[in-house]
Amino acid sequence: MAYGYVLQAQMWIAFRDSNGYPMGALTTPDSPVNGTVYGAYVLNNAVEFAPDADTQAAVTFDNGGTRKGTTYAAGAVKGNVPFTLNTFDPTFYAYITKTTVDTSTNTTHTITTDNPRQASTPKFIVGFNIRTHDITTGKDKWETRIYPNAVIRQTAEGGAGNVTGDVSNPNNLSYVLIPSESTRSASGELFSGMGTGSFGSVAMVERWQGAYPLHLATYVDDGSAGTFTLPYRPALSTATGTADNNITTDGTQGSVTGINTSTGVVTRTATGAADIVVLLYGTEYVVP
Amino acid sequence: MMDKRVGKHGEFAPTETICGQPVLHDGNITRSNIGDGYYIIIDAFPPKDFDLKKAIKDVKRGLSATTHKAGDISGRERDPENDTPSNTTQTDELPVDHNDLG
Repeated sequence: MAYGYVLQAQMWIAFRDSNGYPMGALTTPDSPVNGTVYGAYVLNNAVEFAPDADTQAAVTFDNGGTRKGTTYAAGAVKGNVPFTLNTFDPTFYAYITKTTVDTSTNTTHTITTDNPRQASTPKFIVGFNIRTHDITTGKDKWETRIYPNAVIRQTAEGGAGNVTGDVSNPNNLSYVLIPSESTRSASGELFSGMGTGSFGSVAMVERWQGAYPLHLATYVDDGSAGTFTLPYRPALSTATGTADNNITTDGTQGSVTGINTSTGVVTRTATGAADIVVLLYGTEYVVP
Repeated sequence: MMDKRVGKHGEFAPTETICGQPVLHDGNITRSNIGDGYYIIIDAFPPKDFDLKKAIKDVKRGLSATTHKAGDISGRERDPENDTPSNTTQTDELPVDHNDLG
């Protein structure tokens, strides 16, 4: 199996709580409301992302005019990930700067500001859905590349100039994602329980390849409700938790009773209040 | 008549958020259960000074009044601070833990 990258589609971000779980668009990820579904925030205006080169210090042993040995001083450190949006998204900007979108001070204007005295940096789980082409099978597939522990900052605000001819994506906005290692996958499961074999059971990036782009949603159990609705229709109804729709509860893979591909409704037996149910599921991004 | 801020899983969607804003059904919405299969949509950025807990409580009380036409069936004592006396509808709340609401 070998596949090449074709184009980028959706990008999404989820706030990361202190235990590494995704909490969707909840700006206070350590204080979720039970009974609530927190979907990752989807950006449909991402033009491109271009990861910087990874760094890995090589140590060589040369003597007598020949190379006797080579090893690496440590594992590779992932490069930063610059990405570009072609339009300004006030909500996304507010998320990364720990500000809010003010629509109440003036009800006909949307007001955002920067935050030059920002006192803390929010952590995110970020996914890029990339259409790929498998040159072994000749089939198109999707890779969702996920950074399970990242911070984001804007590096260039959108400008404006004098347009004199046809132009595509003028005056883009630039951002950079800086990844760090994580013990927990975006799926909610610890890397130590998965089969990738990374040393120390940590990772800075994970790549999920399959038939559909993946979306990330978290349901915080209230201990009683038997249904909740996903933000987007799942492409498949598989409810085992270990195929198609990946489902974890408090970090452990497990099944639900049913998943409806038309309504997006998930039925399950409530477990305990505040249990964290994470779904990493294939979707065509159709709203139910 | 059902509150525009209330939806039911798999049946109908609300047209307004808990703060009364129009719902943009683009998937970037946060649904929160309020019991019996009903839900509300919480705004990403509620207006300043908006009392979210009170708003949710009001929605649930209104929903209860809509869905239960009989007298008080809960058997609980009336809360003089929060209950609105009514001769025609009961004001029992749906079984949701208010301590969990934000």
